[in-house]
Amino acid sequence: MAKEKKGVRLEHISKIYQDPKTHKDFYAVRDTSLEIEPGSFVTLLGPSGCGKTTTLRMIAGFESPDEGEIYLGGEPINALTPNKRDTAMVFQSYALLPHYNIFDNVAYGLKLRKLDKETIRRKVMDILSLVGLEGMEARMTNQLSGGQQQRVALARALVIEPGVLLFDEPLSNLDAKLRVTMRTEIRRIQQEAGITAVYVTHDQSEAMALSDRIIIMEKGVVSQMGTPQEIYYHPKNRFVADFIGDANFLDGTMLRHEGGDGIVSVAGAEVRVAETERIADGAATTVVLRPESTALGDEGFFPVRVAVSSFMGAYQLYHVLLGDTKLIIHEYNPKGKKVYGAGETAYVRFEPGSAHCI
Amino acid sequence: MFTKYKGLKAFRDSFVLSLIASPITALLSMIISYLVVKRRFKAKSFIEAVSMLAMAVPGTVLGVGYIRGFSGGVFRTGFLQGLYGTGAILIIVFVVRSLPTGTRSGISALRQIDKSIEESAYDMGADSFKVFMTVTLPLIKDSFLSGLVTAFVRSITAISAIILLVTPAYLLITVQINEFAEKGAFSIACAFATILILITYGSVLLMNLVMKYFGTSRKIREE
Repeated sequence: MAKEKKGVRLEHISKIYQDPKTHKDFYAVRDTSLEIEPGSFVTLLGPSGCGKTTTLRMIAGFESPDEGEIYLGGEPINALTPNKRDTAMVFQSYALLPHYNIFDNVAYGLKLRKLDKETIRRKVMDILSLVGLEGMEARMTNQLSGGQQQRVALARALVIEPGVLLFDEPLSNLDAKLRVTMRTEIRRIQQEAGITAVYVTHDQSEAMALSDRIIIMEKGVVSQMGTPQEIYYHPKNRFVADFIGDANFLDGTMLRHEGGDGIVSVAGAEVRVAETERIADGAATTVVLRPESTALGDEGFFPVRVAVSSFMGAYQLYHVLLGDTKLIIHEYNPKGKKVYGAGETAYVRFEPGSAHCI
Repeated sequence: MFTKYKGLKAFRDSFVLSLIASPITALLSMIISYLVVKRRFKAKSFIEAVSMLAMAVPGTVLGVGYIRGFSGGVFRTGFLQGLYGTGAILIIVFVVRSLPTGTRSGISALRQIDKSIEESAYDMGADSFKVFMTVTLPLIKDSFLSGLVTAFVRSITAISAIILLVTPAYLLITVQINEFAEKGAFSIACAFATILILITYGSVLLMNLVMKYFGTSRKIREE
């Protein structure tokens, strides 16, 4: 449906803002380069203030970068205003035009492109049925629920067939259940339309569910880029590991390498771990353990003291102490397994290969 | 009554002057509020403060100020002296008196428009002029209309600011009512007052009607 899938390339982009209180300049985005493949769904993920929205707004043209160049489909677009760029944005607040009905909202961009009435009508109706709003075209925006308004916003962005679709935290105003439904919808519609999408969110589960690739940002710079699996299983640093999912961190020392894996000494045990970048033998390192890939048993790598033990239905939740370090363990399918109570001592077990060191 | 007590002339003068003053006020207040809300420039807060000033000054003081200011021309230079005693100075006073209300309502209407609504229109391909015409203007239309009517009603009922300023060339209805009441001719004063109430109330009704058909009600017309 989209006339042409376009990729986005950022080359050494920086954006400097002035702190309103101290009048000091700071980098909202610093020397960021990234490449978004045509037709892919890419998420910019990070805590608030990490520069993800600024990056998106620079692609849309609402902000202009202080350094660097942005390319859309190979063309530099720094000099273009938002209305001249082949992008369409879905806003957090929906930003529908309140004085227009649904049909006119969706038709707005087409009317500006001076299409004839019949074509506009056909395109609007097609897109409304794609987002599941057929029969609603005569309603006013305030007669719709939040989810429906967001569908209109999506339809309005899709109908002008942009090269790139931009999402600025579009689901954060919806309730939890609707959020899950809508993100599946967004993914389906993006795939059906075959359109390049850049999506900004601070919700890591949203990012995982939607994206082909995730770009994690921290303090204006890119921390890591990769598929959801790469980022989850092989986080590059503590920030990424902690931000995506829950993570336990254990200090250890790299002993030697065996068959591509590292052998790390942790709490007196020798553990086989995968690594993102090769760590020199003898160097200090941190082992990342996901709560769901660890379990407790009567024997294992190292002993811990159970501090909290609670039944969560799907899993038994343990908070255990290894010296002063607190670890979180989710033991799934607890039925029929031995459950440890607070104060007991148990051994931490995990599959070799599920640990990872950074 | 209309001819004998110069009622017709009084109503006509009041009506015409207010009718001229109100669109000027409404436009000016929209321009000021647009500048204050949407633009960034140095004298912004100064302009906002000055437009509010007329609210703080009592009407008679404003009137005396205009007499002293214009009877000898601006700063006694004779410049704009011709203005004194004309209808124009009355219109200026009307505008200045009702500007704060219009500006306030304009500012609050514009501040209520989410920035992203205009951004989204811009993003869809509209240039900034088109955004203003198709988004900003329709969204502040109600505030503009009510500013218009408020300015009209305030002008036609104004007395404190103009009672000292008015010359026999212009008979204003409020001044006439005051005069008749002072003379003890309450029946005439009351009759005039009643007609004035009808005019002001009628214009408010008219505004409601206009809002209903040209406001946000595309829905009603389309169904």
